[in-house]
Amino acid sequence: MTRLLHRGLAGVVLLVCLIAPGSARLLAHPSATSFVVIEIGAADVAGKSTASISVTTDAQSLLLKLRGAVNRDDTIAANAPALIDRLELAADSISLPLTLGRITAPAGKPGQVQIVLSATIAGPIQHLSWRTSLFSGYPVAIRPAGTLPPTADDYEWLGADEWSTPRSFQSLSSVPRGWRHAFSLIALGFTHIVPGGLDHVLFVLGLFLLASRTRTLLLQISAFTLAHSVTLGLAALGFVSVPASIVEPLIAVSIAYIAIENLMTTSISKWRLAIVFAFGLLHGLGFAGALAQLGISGTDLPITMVGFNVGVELGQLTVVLAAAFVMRLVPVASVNRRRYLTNPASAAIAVMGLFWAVERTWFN
Amino acid sequence: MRTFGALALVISMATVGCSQSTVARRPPAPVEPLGAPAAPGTSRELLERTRKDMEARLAAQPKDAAAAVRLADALLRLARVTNNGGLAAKAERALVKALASDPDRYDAHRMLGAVLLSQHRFRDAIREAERCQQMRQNDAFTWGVAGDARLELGDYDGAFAAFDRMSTIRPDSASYARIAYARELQGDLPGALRLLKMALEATSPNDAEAIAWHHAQIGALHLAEGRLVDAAREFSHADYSFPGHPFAVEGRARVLAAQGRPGEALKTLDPLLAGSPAASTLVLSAETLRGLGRLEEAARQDALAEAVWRSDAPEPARLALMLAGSGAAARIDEAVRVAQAEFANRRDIFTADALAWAFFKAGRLPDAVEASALAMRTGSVDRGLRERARAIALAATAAGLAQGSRR
Repeated sequence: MTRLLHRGLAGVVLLVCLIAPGSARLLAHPSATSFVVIEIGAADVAGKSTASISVTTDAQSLLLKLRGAVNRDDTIAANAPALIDRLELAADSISLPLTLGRITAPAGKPGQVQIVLSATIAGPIQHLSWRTSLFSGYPVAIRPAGTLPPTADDYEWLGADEWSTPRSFQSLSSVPRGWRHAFSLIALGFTHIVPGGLDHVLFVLGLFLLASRTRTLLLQISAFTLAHSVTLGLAALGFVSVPASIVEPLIAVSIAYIAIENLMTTSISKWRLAIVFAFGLLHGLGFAGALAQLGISGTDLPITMVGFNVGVELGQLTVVLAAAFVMRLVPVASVNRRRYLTNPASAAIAVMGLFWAVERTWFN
Repeated sequence: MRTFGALALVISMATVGCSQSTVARRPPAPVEPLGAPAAPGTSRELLERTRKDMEARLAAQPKDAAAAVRLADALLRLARVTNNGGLAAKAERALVKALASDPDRYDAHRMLGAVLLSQHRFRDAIREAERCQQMRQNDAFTWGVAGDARLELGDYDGAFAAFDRMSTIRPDSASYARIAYARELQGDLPGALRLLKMALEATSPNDAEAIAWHHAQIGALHLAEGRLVDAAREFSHADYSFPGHPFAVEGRARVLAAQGRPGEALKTLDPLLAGSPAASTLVLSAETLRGLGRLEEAARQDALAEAVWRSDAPEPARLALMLAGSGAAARIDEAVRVAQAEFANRRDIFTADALAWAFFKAGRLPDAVEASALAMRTGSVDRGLRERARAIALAATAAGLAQGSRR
């Protein structure tokens, strides 16, 4: 068992070393209040593509620029013509007509608004470029649809009314495939757990702490994995949609539940697997929400989901192996493990879960 | 003979190998800053040319750190004269890439500190400057960057000490300008003026942008003391040195407005307003329009200034002052929130002043008095600061009198 543990951990460490450079790139975001992301869809049989333009900025600031003053009833939608007039996407120097799509408030970014517009690109073109007079000194990324979110390196910084560097349409309208793309998706899923998903990490640790045998742990992890894969798939394909304001607090409650159960019992109850499965369904909705927030869409969604899910599983495996390794290192006799490791750790996880439950319910 | 030849060959190869490794260990020559006698000049055309040339060099050789440093220098200068904050972000990216392949490249770290400072990432700028100081103790430039950052954070003692050190190491244009500002902050305007003139005289003739900047700063001091003719002369010199420099253009407009010539002031601002104007330009145009009775246009300019301070070039203290002055309860509440958040980040006198004014407008007089004391702690004679502090002090005195009469 020890040899298996060491080999497993060594394998995961190696994987982390391979993934880490890519994941660091993946975690970068533009450090600007206003930024633009333009995705170019693959051409259909008629040779037409759709460009999706996402403009994120401070809502109040935008209204001030469009209206000159802000009244309580002012909305961006009502000022759509003035907005569209200030944006320009050009195909071979010819401006494309823009259509306003949805206007949303990005989660976790108070005061910000995300405006999505679209443009149809018909016929063969050479280059695409972009400009706007709305912002001065802002980043814009132009990329193929269905790819990973842009990193800091993918953005070009522009001034007011400054044209972006013309981008080859051919390179934008083809979807990247191959092992490199798959590896990036796995890295994305992995980093969503380690280090980006502390709540999921604590949940997995909670499962680990009560599992006295490897078989028990594997059963729980498998139930959890199966459940979150189901809801991740259903949510990502649009069959299920639950607001994050409901999912996130419930995830926190699930963490607290598992940890509190660890404190109250010394063995796995017959209901534990069912409960873990149910909580897994919940966590899957959380993963889907994160995937949606990253803006991944397009024809490669199934591949994206599979790659992301594999990354999530590897992340969970890392957490379990790391925890097992730490347990081995700590010089505590087995009989005292519950008193000096399981109980304190479970108590800490329970406190964290309850704190998040309150925070996500009342303060978000 | 054959043995001797082989031995000679081995010794030669060893010697060449050692000399190569010595060359590899020698640090590269630092890039001269733009405007220095041996470096490209800083007129608008030369800055744009430097930018294009360095971008081309980096496109051909992405690891060319010298090109990255020079590009960053050009971009920072251009950011100052075009109000395009994206240029600083480009400069940062170029330097970070250069440091990724050459982590010990000193002049890249040095320039990065200046870039972070321009982005208002003051703590990061201090960290970078201190890293440079560990590599080289006696580089005046890094003491200047650290001092500027500490000043913005409100650590005036630390800032003044850094400026002293800077001028001890190298008494030049940059150090004189900083000590001038330190004097200004402490209310010594004649002293500040004298030092700025020394800074101007010490500026390289090759550095048109810095010459314009110094003339504009001198003009601003003359304007603050009511010497309109002297101010007009300095702003004209600034505009002559670097045509269209925003500080020069705005300064000339301020003088015209102060001389009771608002129409000409507005016309002067037209080139700036047509481009990507700074919030200060928009506020000046709003004030001038209001003076002409064109209230709707003035409100629009104020709205655009607010938009800039909210997102394009965030200035929470200025935003808080504007919101507090609006008179609307919801906006005053927002002013307090914005000012408090910024004061938690930096405790300079201007942020303290914004906080004091927001508190005052929100009816929180004791808090306003406390913040106002912090705003006046350096002895600055800034007119806006003093007017607001006076208003708060008067209100506090009246409140004290009112309490006395109730007893």
